[in-house]
Amino acid sequence: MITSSAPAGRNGETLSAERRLIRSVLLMLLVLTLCTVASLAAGYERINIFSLPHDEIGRSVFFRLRLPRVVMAAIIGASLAAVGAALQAIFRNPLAEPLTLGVSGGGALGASLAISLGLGARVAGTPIVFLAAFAGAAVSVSIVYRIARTGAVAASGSLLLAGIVVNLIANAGVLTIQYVSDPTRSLQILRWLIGSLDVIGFSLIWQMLLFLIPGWIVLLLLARDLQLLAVDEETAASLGVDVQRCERVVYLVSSLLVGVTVAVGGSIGFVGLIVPHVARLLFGQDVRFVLPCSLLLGAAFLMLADALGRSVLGQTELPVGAVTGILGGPFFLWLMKRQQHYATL
Amino acid sequence: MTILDALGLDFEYVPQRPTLRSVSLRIECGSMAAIIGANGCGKSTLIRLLGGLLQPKKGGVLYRGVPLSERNRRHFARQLAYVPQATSRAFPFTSLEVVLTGRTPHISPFRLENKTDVRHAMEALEVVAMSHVAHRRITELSGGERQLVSVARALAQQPECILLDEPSSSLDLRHRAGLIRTLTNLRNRNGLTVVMVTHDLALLDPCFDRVFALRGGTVAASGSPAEVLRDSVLAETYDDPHVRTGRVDGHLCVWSEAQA
Repeated sequence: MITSSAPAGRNGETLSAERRLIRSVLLMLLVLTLCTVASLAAGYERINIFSLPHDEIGRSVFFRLRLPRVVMAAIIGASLAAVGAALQAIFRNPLAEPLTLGVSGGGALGASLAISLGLGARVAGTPIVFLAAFAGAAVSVSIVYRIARTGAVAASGSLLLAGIVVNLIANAGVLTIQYVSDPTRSLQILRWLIGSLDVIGFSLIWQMLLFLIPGWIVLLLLARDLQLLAVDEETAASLGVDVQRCERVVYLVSSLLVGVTVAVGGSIGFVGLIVPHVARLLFGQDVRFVLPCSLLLGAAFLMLADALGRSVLGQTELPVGAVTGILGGPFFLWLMKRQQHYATL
Repeated sequence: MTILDALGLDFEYVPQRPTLRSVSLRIECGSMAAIIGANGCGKSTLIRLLGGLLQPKKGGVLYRGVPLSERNRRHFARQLAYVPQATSRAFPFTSLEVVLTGRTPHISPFRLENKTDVRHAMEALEVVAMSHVAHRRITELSGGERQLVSVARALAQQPECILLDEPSSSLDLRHRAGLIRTLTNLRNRNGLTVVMVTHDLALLDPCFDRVFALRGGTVAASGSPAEVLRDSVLAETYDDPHVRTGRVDGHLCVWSEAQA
């Protein structure tokens, strides 16, 4: 018996949870499809899809540049958003995301180190940069976690503070590396830091997906445990969640996903923060909904942000990190103001 | 029949600073047991050890004769539920969502809750008289309401044994007694075993079968409420010579005199 004197769930309690999940994911897939079409159409060079069969240059631009770039935006956006949703749940902190927890900073430091040592002459070409960024991200997440968890539970305030400090240290490290490296490498680092999704062909994307897809799958499999952890850690433990193992796996996978995306696209902020919150606005707090929907919505969001960056200034393009920052920062402030329960943290 | 058997538990959070020292106790199936003691004497630690949330440094806990360490955690959650002292409210989940997490041990890993699970969750909320907050956000509830939602979550697990860590610390007079009544009813009807850490000494007699008084990490006294809730025992347990007990209309009253 359900008495809905208070406002019933936004999605109506008459549908079973599984049906609601399927419906939400289908809706997000639709959004993703529409955004894909829009981003494929956007750009300085107008491409008419119907003329592709007899337009060789157009075909080449489309398949070697436009399509890979859109796919790149999608997989980076999906990874960052999914990691954001998972980190928010595991730290029980709605302000957690790769950037605020220092994961991106650590990854950036690792990647810069690899570039300056010449381990990636073509920055995007070799997985050694992936591994270095992954290692950097993993080191910073473990530092932040250790500092924040001095007591029995990780305190929200010390967590974010530790994350910010680790980020500052990492940034200082990147600057130092840039300063002492020789000019060509220093320029490489600078260009990479600004972040770009420019890519030619699919080979790099395949290399990335080799790391990203297993990461996505692991996070999705953990969605239920993460939901229990988001509600309460001790309760989750009493319900049979192996809290420590779950935390370790999430840190490892987050470091991997963020490391690989940072190594290719530079540190792109706010995706991991905004997208899970939009998913919550649409589908409620349940992590089992928020995580898969964030994955799809994150892909759509970064594709659109990049399309905007490619088309808004005519021939010059805006780095995608700048677009997400300009869009995301104010949006997040608005969200904080609108939803008081986030403002109390 | 014994359901929980603690054998010589030693525990320390900080090396060389023992929180519990060789604590042994036995809880009978379908009984109601209370753990009492002064602040910081190790009550919460003990109940966490009994629920398998902490591992003892020495000794062990048997549940129906099987060590907790050998039990599958998820299956075990169908038998034993634990209500923590306080719960997180980082995210504005609804009460129903929180209570539904209690159904997890009964749902296979790749499924979500079905209508039956929602019904169980609503029934659990009804048992603690909280069905009116089912769709309200836990961030908007009072501390007492949140505690009762937490109890409902544990009941939704349909356990045979429930451990509660000061479940009534934020409850008003009526709800404190109401919670004990609810638990007593569940014991009488379903044979639920109840282990509760509490400071509500006046509510222990006559509902509870056994009281364990902890002092400095050891069991200082145990027995029926009438045996333990006496001036001399309580004065020692709480290290307070001002403790007095008395009976009004057959009800036990415990107080500590404020005037020296």
